[in-house]
Amino acid sequence: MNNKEFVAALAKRCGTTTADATDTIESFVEVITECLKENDQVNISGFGVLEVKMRNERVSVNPKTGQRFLVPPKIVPAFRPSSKLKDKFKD
Amino acid sequence: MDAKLNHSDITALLAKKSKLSGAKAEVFTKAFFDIIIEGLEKDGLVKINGLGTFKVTDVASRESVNVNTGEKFEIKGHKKLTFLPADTLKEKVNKPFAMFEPVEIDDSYVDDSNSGTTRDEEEPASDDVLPSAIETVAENTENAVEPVITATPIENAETPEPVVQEVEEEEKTVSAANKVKEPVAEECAIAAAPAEREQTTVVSPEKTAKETTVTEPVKKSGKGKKIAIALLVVLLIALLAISVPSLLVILAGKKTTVVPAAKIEPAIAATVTKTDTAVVDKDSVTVPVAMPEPVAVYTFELVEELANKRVGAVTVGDTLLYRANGSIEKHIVAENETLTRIALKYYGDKRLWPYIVQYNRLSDPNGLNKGMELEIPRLEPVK
Repeated sequence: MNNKEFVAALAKRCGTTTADATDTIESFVEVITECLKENDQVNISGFGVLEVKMRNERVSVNPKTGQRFLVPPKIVPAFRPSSKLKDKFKD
Repeated sequence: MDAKLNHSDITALLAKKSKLSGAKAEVFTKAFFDIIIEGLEKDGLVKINGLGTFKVTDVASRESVNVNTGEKFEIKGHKKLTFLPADTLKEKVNKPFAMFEPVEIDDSYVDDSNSGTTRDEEEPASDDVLPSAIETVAENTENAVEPVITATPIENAETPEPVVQEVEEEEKTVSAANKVKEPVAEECAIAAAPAEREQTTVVSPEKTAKETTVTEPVKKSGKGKKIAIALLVVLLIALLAISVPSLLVILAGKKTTVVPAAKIEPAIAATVTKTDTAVVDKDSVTVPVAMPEPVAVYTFELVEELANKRVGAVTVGDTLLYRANGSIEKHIVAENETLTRIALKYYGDKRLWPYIVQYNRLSDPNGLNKGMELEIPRLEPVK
């Protein structure tokens, strides 16, 4: 399911036009982004947790050239599915 | 910050942002996550612009070990829900660390600094030859009556025992070197006529020059070898410098020292430059003829200085405990003079400075000022 399909499905479910649905999705994504930027966790029961994780700096080696790089620390968004959802897709 | 937001919180935020009614926002968010799950069930992949991709991926079966029983068992292959954040989301979240970029670690830099230090170590080693050589020259010219203490100032050794050993060792090596360098010494002994003397000056530097030229190609083979050979060369030159002058002084009298002193100089020059053998050769042949005089004068000055120092000096070691008994004289502190230097001057041992501090009741040993008057105590060993 790509973004277009997703918007169409959501518009149908909410009974709005696809243009409205697109706007609403955009602002909802923005809301989530703002939350993650603030180091907040977004906890959706039955779905999972959207959160940010800190990755430490590390040394990576290019196996072809043998060059060593120091990769800086970074903050990455992460998703942890709820156990219910995990079980649903397990088999 | 670090808050946990649930479904209703996020709905409220959305309602505020998009100006939807609370009920509509709730319907929307509920539908949002439901459709994601439905889409995952249907296609195994849901892509949302600006957020990322939810995907169901396969996990291959693998073997594991039961930590309690040690039994091996297979974890069956299964499916897993993953989330791949969109670039825009990653960028926004990582904003605090956005200024960092991967940096290449340069390994060659470490190697450079290493070889640099070895080069640095080599240089002072060859420089050290000069003072030690002159020192032993001075020692030997005075026929070693009581050379131990006068040697310490230049030696900079930590305890008196090693100093004595060191000097003894040096004397041993001197005698050993004498045996090796017998021909040169003999030549010099015969050298009563100045013409012949000049001949020896030319011959002996050539010898040292040859020695350096022989070792030159081997140096390039390896770093370890290079250092070892460099040390060997330095040692050889030191031996030459020690042995030749001492013999000459004993055998031929004062004037002959012109020969060894001149020889020391080109020899050192040869080791320091080490670049072109041709240049070295040229130097070692021409230099002794050109400038033997000033070097010789320098060594004699040093000898005289040491001899003068001995007259006023009290030879004392620091393994004994001393007691102050009256003062030898008043000392007026010169500029940049330290207690260790004063101790060296009067006792021949810089480590005896605390006695001066004690005797003068100085509050701050580091706060020595120019023009300060110090009583130098006469030290007597306590039995």
